[in-house]
Amino acid sequence: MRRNAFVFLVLAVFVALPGLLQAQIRSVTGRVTIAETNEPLEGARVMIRGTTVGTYTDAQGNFTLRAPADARTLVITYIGFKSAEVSVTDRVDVLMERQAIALEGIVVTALGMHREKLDLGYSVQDIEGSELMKVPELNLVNSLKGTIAGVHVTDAGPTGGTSRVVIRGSSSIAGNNQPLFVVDGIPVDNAASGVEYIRNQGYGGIDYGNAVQDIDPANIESISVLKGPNAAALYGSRASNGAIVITTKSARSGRGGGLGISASTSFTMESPLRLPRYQNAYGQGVNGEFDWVDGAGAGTWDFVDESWGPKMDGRPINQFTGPAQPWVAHPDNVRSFFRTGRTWTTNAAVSQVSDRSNVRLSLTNTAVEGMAPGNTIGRVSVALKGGAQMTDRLSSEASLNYTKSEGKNRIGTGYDEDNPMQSFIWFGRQVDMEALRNYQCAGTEPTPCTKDAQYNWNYNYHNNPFWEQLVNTNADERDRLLGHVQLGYQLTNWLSATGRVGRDWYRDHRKAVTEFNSLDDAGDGGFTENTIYRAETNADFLLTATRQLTPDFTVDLSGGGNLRENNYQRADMTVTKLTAPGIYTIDNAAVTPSPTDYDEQKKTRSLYGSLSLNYKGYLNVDLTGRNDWSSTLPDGANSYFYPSVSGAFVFSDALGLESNFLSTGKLRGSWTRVGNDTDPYQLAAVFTAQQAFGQVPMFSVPNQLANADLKPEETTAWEAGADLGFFDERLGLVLTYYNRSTRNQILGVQISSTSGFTNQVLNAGEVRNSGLELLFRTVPIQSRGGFGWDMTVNWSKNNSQVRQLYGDLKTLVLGSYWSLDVEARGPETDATTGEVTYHPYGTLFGNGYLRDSQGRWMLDADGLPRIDPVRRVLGQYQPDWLGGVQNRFTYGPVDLSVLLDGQWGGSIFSTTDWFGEYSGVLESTLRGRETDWCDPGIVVDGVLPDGSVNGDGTNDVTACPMDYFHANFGNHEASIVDASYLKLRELRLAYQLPSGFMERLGFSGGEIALIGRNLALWSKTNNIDPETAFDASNVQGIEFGQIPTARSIGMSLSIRP
Amino acid sequence: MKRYMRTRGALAAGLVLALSACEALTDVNQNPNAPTDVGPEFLLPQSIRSAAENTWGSFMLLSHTGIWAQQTVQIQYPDEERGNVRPGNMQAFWDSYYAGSLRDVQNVIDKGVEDQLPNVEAVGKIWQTWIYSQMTDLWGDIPFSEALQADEGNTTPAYDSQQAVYAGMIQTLKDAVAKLDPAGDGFGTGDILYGNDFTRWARFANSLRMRLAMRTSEVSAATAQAEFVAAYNAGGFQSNADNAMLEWAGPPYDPPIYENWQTRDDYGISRKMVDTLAYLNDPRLQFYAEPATADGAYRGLQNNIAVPPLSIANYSRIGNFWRADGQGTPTAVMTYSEVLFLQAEAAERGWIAGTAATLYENAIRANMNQYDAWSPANAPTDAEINAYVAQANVVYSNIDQIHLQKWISLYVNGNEAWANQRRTGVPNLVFANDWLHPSPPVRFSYPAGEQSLNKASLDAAVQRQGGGLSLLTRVWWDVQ
Repeated sequence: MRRNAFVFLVLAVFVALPGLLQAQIRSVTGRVTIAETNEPLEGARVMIRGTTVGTYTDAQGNFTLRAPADARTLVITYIGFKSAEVSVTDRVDVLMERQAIALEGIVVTALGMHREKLDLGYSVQDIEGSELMKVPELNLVNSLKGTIAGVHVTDAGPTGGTSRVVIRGSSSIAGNNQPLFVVDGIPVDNAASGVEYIRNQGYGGIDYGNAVQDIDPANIESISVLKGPNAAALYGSRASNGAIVITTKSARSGRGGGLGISASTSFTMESPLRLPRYQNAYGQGVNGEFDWVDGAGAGTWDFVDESWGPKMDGRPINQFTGPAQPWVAHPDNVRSFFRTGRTWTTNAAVSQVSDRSNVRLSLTNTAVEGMAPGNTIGRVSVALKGGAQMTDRLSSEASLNYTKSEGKNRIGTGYDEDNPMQSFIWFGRQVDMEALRNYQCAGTEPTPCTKDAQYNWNYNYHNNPFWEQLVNTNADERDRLLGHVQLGYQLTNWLSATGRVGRDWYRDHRKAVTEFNSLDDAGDGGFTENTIYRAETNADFLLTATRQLTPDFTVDLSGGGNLRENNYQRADMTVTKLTAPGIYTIDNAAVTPSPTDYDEQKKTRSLYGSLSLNYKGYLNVDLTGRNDWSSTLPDGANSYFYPSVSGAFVFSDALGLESNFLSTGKLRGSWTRVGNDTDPYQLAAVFTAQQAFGQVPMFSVPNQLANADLKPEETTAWEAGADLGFFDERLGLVLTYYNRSTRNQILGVQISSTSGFTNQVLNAGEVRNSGLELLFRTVPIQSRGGFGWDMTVNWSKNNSQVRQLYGDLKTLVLGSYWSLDVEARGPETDATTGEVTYHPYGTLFGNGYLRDSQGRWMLDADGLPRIDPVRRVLGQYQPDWLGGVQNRFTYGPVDLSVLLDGQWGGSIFSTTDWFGEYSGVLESTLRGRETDWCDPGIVVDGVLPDGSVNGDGTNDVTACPMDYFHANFGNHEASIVDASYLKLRELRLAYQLPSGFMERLGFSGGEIALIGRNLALWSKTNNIDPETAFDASNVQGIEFGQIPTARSIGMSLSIRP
Repeated sequence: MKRYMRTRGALAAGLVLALSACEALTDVNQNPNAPTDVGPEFLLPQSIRSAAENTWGSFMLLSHTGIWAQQTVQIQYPDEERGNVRPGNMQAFWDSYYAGSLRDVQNVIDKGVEDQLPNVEAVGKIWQTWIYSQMTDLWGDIPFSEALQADEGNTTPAYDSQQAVYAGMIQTLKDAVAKLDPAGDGFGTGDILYGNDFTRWARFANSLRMRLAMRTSEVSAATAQAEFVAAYNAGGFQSNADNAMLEWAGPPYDPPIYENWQTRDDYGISRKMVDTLAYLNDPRLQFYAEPATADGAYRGLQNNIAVPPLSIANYSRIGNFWRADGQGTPTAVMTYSEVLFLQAEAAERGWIAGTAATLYENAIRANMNQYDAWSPANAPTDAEINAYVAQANVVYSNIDQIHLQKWISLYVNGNEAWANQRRTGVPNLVFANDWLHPSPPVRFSYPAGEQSLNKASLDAAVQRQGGGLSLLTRVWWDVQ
């Protein structure tokens, strides 16, 4: 497959064979400027109406177009401006008017088609690349937070870690729920394996991030978010969760047509936004006692990792730092583990535009020192893009993007020893973090600290966090190449053909090591090494016909096809014991290394077409159809067709309703049905290779029973909405209601293991998502060089319902942690009333308090709450609604913008709370030990076994706090927290550098800005940031040992050509 | 216009032709990473390994059966010690047996039948029976005759009564032994228990039959006697050389207690065991236990208490033969010593000829010598053994001594020790202090998954047994 990269380059040359026909043409030149300021508008699209002929304006707003002799009308469009239509003459000058809300203008939709927004029957929201760069993010997915209605982005916390994005709720029970990412028409990989469990099976490991963050935000011209399957019908099944369509920057000429140079740089500093609230009154130990001998059990409770020990009143106690040390609090001992992170991003781009060709080269370097000690992330992106009008009919475009990403000492995640935040849940609050900084024993310390071993506060459960971070290291490297070649041929002035080949591939290498003397293995070291290769190749063609049939009636007809191939290979190597310390090679393995490899291939073929009918510009109807043939479904049953229909009616135009009040009014609606295939190799079972038992090779029967008769999944969706502009577009409103059902889901349904298998692959189940999206924008005060204010509000609410599972199956467990299940729970029918209750996708199911009929806690004889043995639904992870408010104020050259966003509702099972209370490290565990470790104790309100009421003042039973908080072990309800929050997401204060000054330097402008991200957080829960992703999978709503989110403050500087 | 329509039509037709020409689209869906069929020699070791890891893993042994037999104790997180069972564990034990070890060995049996390899079929059946015997002793009624049939469409197998399971297991063992052919084909390197020695497989099957027959002594004495005698006459273990000893292969297949020692090490030896051994001046004390690091004393911790009175440095840990030095220590699946104890009991009951006292003493001696091949430090010497068996409180006088010595000899074989204790009531175990339930544990509870995935079958079994969702309902052979 690696040959393909070369093959398609060669192919591109040979495809260019067309005989050229001469047509009558005329040259049209012109200039596009902004109406309010008379500044040139760069990058505006100039099209001849009813054709596919067009061009873009340069930095001075100028354009030249070779138009067919019969061309009548030019359409000029630009994001954020009203479209303009003018008659074709030799010289055309156009004034463009801003609009508060982009109800009109061009957007990029499926297959890279540029469409007029007013014509669309479905909801698309776009962001300009320049907006992304205002407060840069390492991961472009995070830039979508809070700005796009219906888009829910969560990130896992670690620097460079995974961000998960879901549009309009999760619809696939077991499959991927993230949208398709497309760059310049080429689908790119965003491997869901964002979290690789590299050193441990189970929960925990290193988060290497989601793959789409390789896309350099500095190189993005615009992002269109196609929110539902309606918008994405032409992309096929992978876009049934929506599509994020990225267009990279093209060349723009510099001043006077010369070399265009632009540059920007930003520097930010990161610190933890929130850490758990720890208590600082009691240190390590049990029952108020502690005495250190060896940190492994020889002393009094010196092996425990809980803080139920003596009060930290300065009394002398033997500790790991020496005998009879003052027993005092170190309130900042967790915060001081982290350092101030630094992120430095620099971009420079040059471009050249000539009469018939253009080329742009962009280079971005990102260097990050993470908050975790020793952690660095580096990324270099090089992008080359160019186009040429080879003849009057033949044009070409090609791009090449290379990204190299490197990570070192990424912090571990999850409930695992790799994660320092987990070891701080189990911690002695007296521990002096500064003393742990020298993590290696010199040999002079008391036992068990022998030379070169790790120096630690505890030798029973945890590694020294600095040892974990700086000695047990990991490193990863990813080389990625993304490119495409495209040829366009203008057959006639109304019919054009495009052929394109694109390829995305990367190789990812990861290595994580464990040094001798670590506690989480036999102490003999080891390492894990992974090499991952992914590639996707797409070859497609598209024929587009545009014909103005009558002056009122225009038809667009497209037809095309696609061949796609996905390849995935990985090789993993694990060595669990080394001969000599510090050498992490297979040659140094003291045990037989266990290697595994995996190879996967998938192919699809597709044909598709679309028909668009436009009447008088105000009524537009689109029909699309697509048929896919997938390699992953049974032979003969692997073809599936999906249609869509949508319509848009600009009633303000049609009915002549335009007035000072209503400036634009549009109604739209659409319906679609989308099929979906499955992962490769689901149809037949294979035996699972097990690591050899010594020299004896072993296999096992897989736990999942395969199904040779799988059918494609089916998603049906419709949406309806209105786009309304008022007061000359100074107030805009976009409203959408949607409804989406996914049926025949391909599920690994749980079956009783007594049948020999734990799962069976079936077509079953239905999930319905319906909801409302609202986008509101207003410009209360118009900027004309003076003061301006504009505000954008987005809000969305999604109702998720698992309508059906399979047979009598009550629930499908998506993931389970400490017996808390995250599940898709089927409908439940009330036995007496017959009423059906539908659960949302992502219910949290576990154990709660045992209550009596009056809802009071039932207590045991010791006065401690009892756990209800009957498990129940305790919450759900999806929020009730999401929203964001962006305000922007301008005054002359000063520009201030503030973004607030948040969510309401949703639940999280927090193990930071759960075990933090068990271990007595959290502030909340001070309850009942205000005076001493068991004084005054806790009187729990509830009913005692004898029926008397505890807490009413008569014969109350008092519990020691330690026993009370230990009693919540197994009780998930005690640690289900509300996920509602509000964040000050972005704050930016920018100053436009004086243009006279910049012009003297050879640039048209520049800007300097103070920037901040994640500056403040308000939430109902105290110990964690509720905006947390567990990983990239569907198992969400669980938090454990969350890596603190970064609060980022810094500045940026940019110059324009 | 018409001309262009034709052009488009031709293009589309051409494309369809091009697509249909490459018919092999689904050919790429052949999984290149793993075989669709493998021989029984690759499945048997996996079944043995996984069933042993499940049975003797720290979760089942050290957190459930070992502490409920009061041989060992949880010294750091005494949850199961108090009867606080994590539902996920019950599910994991159940699934690991059924969808793991039992399913794998079912494929071995099927291969044996298909390819007419009698030894493969018979060994598969013997090993599968051993797994079923572990399960039914823990859970009582279990899916047996209808189990493992998902590929035939049965995903909700009925539960067989334990009585039926026992009858079925004994019949299976009889049939299997009859099929074994010492000179026939075996498993290559795949027989990690007996290395294709089918004579010893037969003795293992007959020994297991004796164990199963004796288990029913209190509920159907006549059948128990008949089956025991038949098995005894067929011939069980003849010496320690016949023991079913599973030797672990090294990482990642280390002995479970050793593996636990590497990371957590939060288990100890129970006070019941330490006090019993000390009372009997048993030389196995320094072999079974390590002295407390605080003061060098042998001190067990009382089971089922929430918080130990002293710091853990004051309590003895499991002996280093299994723990710190345990990497090469085998797991005793079934031993000659146990067979002698079974015979001693049978002799005492008058089922077989032979002297109970002699069989009893030989059983103790065999037990004390059964690890000699691995030369553990602190293992009893011949002189110590001779002195021990001569002691007044060790010399045979009644059947309870058989049960008590068997409990001692089954150290770190929690499942069998607990089952035997439940049958005989020896030793007398007290569940008091912080035990959360009204009575002692006498079974494993059925996993939650069965309640949702195989509810009708489970409900019938629960109704038949009068319970099973808690730890407190006795299994069929366990009558008070």
